[in-house]
Amino acid sequence: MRKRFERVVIILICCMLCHFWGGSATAAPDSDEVKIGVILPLTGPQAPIGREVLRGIELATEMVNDMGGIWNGKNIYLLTGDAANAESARTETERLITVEKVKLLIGVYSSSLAFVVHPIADKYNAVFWETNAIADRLRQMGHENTYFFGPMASGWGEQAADCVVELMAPKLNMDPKDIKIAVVYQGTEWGKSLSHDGFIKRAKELGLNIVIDAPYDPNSMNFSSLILKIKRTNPDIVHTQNYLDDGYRLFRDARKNGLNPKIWVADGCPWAYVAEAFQKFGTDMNYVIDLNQVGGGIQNLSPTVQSQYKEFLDRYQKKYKTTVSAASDVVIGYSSAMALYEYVLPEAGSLDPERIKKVATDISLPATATVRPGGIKFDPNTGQNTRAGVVARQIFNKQYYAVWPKAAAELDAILPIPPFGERAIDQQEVDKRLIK
Amino acid sequence: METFIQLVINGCLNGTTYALMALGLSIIFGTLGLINFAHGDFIMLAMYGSIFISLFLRVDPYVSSIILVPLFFLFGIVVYKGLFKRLLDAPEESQIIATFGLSFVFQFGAMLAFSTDYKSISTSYSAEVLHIWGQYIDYPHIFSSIVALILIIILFLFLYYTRIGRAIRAVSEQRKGAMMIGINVHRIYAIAAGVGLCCVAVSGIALSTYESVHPTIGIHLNLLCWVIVVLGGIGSLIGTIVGAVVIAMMEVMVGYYFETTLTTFAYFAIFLVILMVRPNGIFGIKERKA
Amino acid sequence: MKKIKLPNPLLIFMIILGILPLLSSQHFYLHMLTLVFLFAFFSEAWNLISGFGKQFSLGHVAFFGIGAYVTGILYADYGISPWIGILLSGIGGIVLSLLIGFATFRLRAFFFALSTIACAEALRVLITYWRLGSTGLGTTIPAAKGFKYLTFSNEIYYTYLAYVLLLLAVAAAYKITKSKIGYYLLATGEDEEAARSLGVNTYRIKLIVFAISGFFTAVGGGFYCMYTRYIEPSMVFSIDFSVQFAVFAIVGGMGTIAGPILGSALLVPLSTFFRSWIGGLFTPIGFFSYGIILIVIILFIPGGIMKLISLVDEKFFKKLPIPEK
Repeated sequence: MRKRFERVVIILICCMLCHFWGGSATAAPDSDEVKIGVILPLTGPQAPIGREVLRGIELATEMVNDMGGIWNGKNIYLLTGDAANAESARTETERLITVEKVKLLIGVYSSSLAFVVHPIADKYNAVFWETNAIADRLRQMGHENTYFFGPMASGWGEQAADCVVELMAPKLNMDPKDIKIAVVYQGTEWGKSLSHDGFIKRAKELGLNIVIDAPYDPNSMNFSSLILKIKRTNPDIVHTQNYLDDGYRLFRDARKNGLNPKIWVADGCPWAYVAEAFQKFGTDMNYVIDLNQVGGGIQNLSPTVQSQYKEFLDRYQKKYKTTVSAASDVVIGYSSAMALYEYVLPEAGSLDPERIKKVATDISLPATATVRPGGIKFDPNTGQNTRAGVVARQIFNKQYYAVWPKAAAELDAILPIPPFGERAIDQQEVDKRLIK
Repeated sequence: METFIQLVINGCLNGTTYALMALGLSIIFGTLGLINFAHGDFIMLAMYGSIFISLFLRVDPYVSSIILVPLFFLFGIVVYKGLFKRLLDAPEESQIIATFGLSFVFQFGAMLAFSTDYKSISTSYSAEVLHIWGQYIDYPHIFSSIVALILIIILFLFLYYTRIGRAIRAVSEQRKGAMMIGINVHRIYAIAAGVGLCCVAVSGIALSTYESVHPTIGIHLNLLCWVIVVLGGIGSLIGTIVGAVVIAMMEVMVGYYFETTLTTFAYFAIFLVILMVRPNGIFGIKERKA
Repeated sequence: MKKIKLPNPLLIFMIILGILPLLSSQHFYLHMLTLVFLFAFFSEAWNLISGFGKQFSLGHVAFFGIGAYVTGILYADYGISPWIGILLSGIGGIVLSLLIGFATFRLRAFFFALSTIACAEALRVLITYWRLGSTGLGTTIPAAKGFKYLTFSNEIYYTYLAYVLLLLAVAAAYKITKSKIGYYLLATGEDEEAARSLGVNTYRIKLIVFAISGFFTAVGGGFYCMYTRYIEPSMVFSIDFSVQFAVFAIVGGMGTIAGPILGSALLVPLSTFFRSWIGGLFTPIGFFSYGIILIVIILFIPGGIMKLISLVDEKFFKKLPIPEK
């Protein structure tokens, strides 16, 4: 018995030590490369999104390296960590920072994961360059070296409500206060912070009429009863916020149950630009308004940014044999990484958090400097990009046309939306409405 | 009232499609007594199979069953010989963990093979809705319900009126006794696993006409199917159907009259309550010692 | 019946485990150790009812989540020290385990497992519903520093806390296996009807052990909440946790005290390794291999590592003359 236990102990210690040696062996620093950690959901249900963001970041990195890298020819080298769930997000961040000695991380897209990951980066004084994660409370956690390149939930919600007043009400020929709005969102941190704490709050301030505030369980297999519930309120605008799976099901069940609002808004909705959705819904996808943090006319960009962006689109096409459908999560990844490589790192000269902080807070760039709307200006306290904006785009025949705000608009929005089944539209009709 | 009828219709349609998903599990669990926690992932594979075959041959997904169903029958036999057979006499926890490992293999294998993209097909009737007496009924669900009913009738005939079917029932009731009267138990088990996976193939096909598939879809389907099968009672086809309709009705009614966020709660709650009253499920026979 | 371990080796074993955190101050190593200890602890708690008592529960995450939520909400919203919160978590775990046990212990083996999952899922949905109505779905734990608030800047404190938890669970498991309850429990696990006919109140025994198991799991949940500093219903009520507790114990050896620790020590680093093995878009390969390893272990080493060790013992070492110390 005793002998057996000694062996048990030996096995256990070997196990531990292997890991310990394994951990310290890879820690050799490499001076020729600038190591950047990427934390994204690469497996699990959010993986399609995470993968697109990763592709964007990878292509941006590739382009910078091909152009000679940064800091006199140093190449950027990406190390990825899979954030399939909170547990692995945490462990992978710890690994990247303490084992791989990464001092700068980019990621993590989802708000829920960001709550877990940001404090870790902060603990080790690493810089975190957040691509998306919109929950307001993330900004209030007091992490000095976290920068939010994308918009925050309340700002987004406010702009979404403004969009109702400025764009949709005139199109419907209605007083904004008479418009009945149904708000449907997934009952997750992301959904609640954007739709409930952002949009609804602002809409109430503006005196808009929210007829139903309906969170739902994203794991539900069908939403027909939710749709019937919405249908009962007879809304003019259905404002939805969802991920891929629930987005498909919601739209499918709306079609199935004949829910025909005058405007269908998909807020920050990744499913709206996955090519799959078109295959599935065909022309029924037309007229849908997609509120997003990327998009808008590239004609407004500065020439260098424009040519870079075009090269990026080419590279994407070549590498993955599909087009970047106007503005997908790829662009979120690309634009975040590009802003970091172009405006922050060269100035900072090193990965020292103090240097990066100084450069980041000094940046003040107009909307022409990045593919995302708004421009770049970080709040020194919260690290929030105060200029990050939202663009409303309308979908026609697999294309996206920015329709709001006016400065970025490419198309005069065609509203209201016809019922399901009657949404086929000739491309010429759409082209007529283009703003030259 | 009109809405109520609509809700009932939706509940029935969803219920029969849930039943279709759970049938394969019901057969495998009822006959082999094997706890298969990879059932959802088998459905996921069937959905991929259906989508790829119908895209490749440019046929309707239901036509793809000509290829997919025999394929899954073979698949069932292979899985039985490879894994299930070795697990038959293992304790339940080993079965759960081993099939859970299998589900990992399928999920991440699918991720490698088909990427994490969502895949779906669009059929000529995908968008068609039958609008009758103020009620909306969509064709994909009508078709899958019809297929479910046909499959149930075929299964019933198969189990009660064919030699193999009767052997399957005999084996599932009394393994040792069946052995004694000269039934080759492993052969019967292999066939049962094959038949179970045929049902899975059909449900995958039906599901692919209105659901998108992605590698992790199986996780939720798996739990749903288990709840249905246990609720209905082991080894009872009618129980499976009743269980499925109960779950679907519960989901639809709670979603409409109470809170949409509580639908999942509703069906787990009804599951627990029914099990407290009838520990063997609605149509379950009394416990038998293995 | 499983053999019950002698005190000496177990003590040596635990002391060696206690020394491990001192071997390196590398953060990741300590983080890994914390996870190993923590999951060994959960697995040990799970093993009490499911290993010794053969009541296969897949809903232990319900206790875990309740624990995390009691501690997290009391601290974040009411400023109550997490030390008290963790104790209250434990009580919450006991209450919940009695409720679940009352509802499900009548069911036979696998139905019991499934209904515990149902309980955990139902609880997840309820808590989501409750949190949706409040200020934010997720709860962040404020970063007040200090011992009083269970917040440390050095990882090693967490590691040792997890170690202490593990120690407590091992001591409890040891105590239980040596006590009358333990024998009753083993008897119940082997053949419930036989045990009942011998006059054992199996229902009560199961409830008591389930409550102890629930208490530990909930305490661990409270600790986990303070360690992660963020909780969300879909995160702390994820079935993955239940399955992990079970997998670690089964791979290590169900119904043994050292088994869960071994399983956790083997699989926690292994799954981390697989996750980072092939990075980027080929990450699934790692998990794919993990699944295959699970199947292989179940098929070829049904009793887990402990069984393997004893087999190796019998085959090779019995015949060799081993010098006595």
